[in-house]
Amino acid sequence: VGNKTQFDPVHNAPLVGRHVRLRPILPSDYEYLYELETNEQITWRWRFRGTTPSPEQFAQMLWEGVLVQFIVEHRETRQRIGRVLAYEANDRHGWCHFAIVMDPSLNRMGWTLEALALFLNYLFKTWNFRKLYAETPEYVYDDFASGAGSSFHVEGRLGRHEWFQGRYWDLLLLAMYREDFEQGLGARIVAHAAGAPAPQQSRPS
Amino acid sequence: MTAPMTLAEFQAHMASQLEVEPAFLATEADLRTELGLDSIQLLVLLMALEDLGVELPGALLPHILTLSDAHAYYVNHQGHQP
Repeated sequence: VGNKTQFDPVHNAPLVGRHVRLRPILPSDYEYLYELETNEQITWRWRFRGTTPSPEQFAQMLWEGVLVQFIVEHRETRQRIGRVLAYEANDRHGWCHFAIVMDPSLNRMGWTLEALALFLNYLFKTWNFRKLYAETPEYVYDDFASGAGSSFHVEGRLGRHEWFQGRYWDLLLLAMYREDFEQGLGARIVAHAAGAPAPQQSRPS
Repeated sequence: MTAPMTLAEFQAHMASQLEVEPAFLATEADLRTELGLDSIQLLVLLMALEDLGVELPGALLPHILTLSDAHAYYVNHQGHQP
């Protein structure tokens, strides 16, 4: 039967980690999200690609095609630091797209990946998805490239798709498989974030 | 309280967490600019540090440039609650 008090990332979907927590978006968050997503360090790689939609357009677009999305907060201060979302879910084929946008001042502090791991775990536990997709411009890929082949797979590439800083860049389609997440680094991050022992891995992450 | 790991032991431990050879993780090399560790690898190091009982506040993370820096922080904060 096993120890039911032990955290099992396969059967639990915590939204609170060691550093961040996820909570539903409220209308009072819209202004924060508008400022975040039109931030000069973010807007060129996020969906607006440098444009500034009207606040009314922004509020409408915020929910278009969305399955679930959360505000990311710092766990202790409750300061808002980002947004995660899943969209264009396909129940028939068992996949969904996801995205994350975080305050650029928090780069490489580990909080982005903790928030992402909590969110992907939530998606895999709540729906029977077999794989999750994310798009990323080539110019930010190096920041997480070590996960290729284990945490995610590059399954698509649109050549010279986006113009940025004087040249065209490829757009990459990344896929994260359920089994990779549950047996690899994803589940390990969730377990660590929840203060639990790392799950046994059936293969190297 | 157990004695803290030496720098060499710390290097070997962190290298095993990253699944690289200890020699790759040169103790005085800049983790980001010289060794080229990306966000995933830095998080693995951070989790390993936390598993050793060392909580590293986010504001201090940018000041940890080398493995020696991380080891010094570990030695000074092992077993301390933030």
